[in-house]
Amino acid sequence: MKTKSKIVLSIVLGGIMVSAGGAAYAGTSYQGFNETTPSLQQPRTFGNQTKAGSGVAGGIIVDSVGSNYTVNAKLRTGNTFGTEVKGLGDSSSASLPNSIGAGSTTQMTLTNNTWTTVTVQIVGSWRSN
Amino acid sequence: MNASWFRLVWLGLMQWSRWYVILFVVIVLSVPIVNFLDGFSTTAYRDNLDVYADMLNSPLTLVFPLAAVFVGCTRFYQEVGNRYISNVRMRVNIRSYISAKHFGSVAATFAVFFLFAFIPFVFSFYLWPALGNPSVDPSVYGMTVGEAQLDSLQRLTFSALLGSGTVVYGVVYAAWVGAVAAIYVSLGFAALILMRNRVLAMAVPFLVYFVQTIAAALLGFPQVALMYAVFPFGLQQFSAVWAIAPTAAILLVCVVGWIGIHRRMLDLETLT
Repeated sequence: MKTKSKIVLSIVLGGIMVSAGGAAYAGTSYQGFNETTPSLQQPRTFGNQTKAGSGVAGGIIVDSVGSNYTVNAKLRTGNTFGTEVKGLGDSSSASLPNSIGAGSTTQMTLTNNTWTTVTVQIVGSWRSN
Repeated sequence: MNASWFRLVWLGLMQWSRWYVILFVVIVLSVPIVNFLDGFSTTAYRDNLDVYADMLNSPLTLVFPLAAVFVGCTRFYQEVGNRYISNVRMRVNIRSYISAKHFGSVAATFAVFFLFAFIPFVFSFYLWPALGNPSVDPSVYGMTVGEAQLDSLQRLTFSALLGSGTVVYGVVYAAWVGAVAAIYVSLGFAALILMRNRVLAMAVPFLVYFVQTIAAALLGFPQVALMYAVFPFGLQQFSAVWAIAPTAAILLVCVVGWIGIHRRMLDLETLT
């Protein structure tokens, strides 16, 4: 194989590996998010992380919540939810207790307060652990 | 004010003993606790302030003025509709009757909504710890008990009052909720006298509350919303001035309305 072909092949394989890593995020490291939650406590579920340890608490770091609202968060896999933490504002954090098994594809669910009548932008990071 | 005026107030309060009013008051007072018990087991709370916030964050938050007006104005709504006042004014001074009726309704509504906020306060700050504080775990939020206490002072509008003592916070905040309910009842009472459409008059306080809250949220200033003025949950802490100012504006409208009513009371169509 010519040198030029090897370089092209390396770039293509490298790209595939990087994108594959993005689809199944390592659950032990924090993954950033910038999400908009619907009004009236409708959930916004996002992310796909592979749970590393059974029942190990995840984590969320909230950098900012639009218009000084607060947000609620919990982990989710299928129809199984972790314990909800409530009232997270700007520059706050919490662990996310759960009973989700290792290897499960885990998502984050954010909700506004029940009577927040507008959508709210939330920036932060999370991990399923 | 004389003995007959106080007798009128007393007679007005006695009319509250009707079964449907008592049933509605019992429902109003039990909603926060039922709402909390329905979901506490799936939630982690920092402290008892979080428990209290979750209790008051009930469906009544959205229809608060409607509940207040139902409690405080239903009897007067019936009297206006039945032309009862036309008969009363032949026997009693109409100014005395209306002012006694108004005072009795405002005072009773204040009492009901004071309890609406105070009973959950006792439940969350005194009864819940006695039960072992289920679901309260500040370590979930990376805090110790002491850090959660400090954080609570900066968490919600009015929660800085916890620095003056738990009871001070509970009593002052419950009095605030009672006072706001009383203002909406006063507004509803005035609307029933000034408007011919009684159903619309009963809805006026709710419409003002709801539309102003939506408008404040859409403009990006939820801190001035009438809903967050009385139930500051789901919002980070703001100065109490933001809560008091819009409610004071409603009070001002009430005062102006009642001055107008007292000046024209003998000519008002709804009272003749």
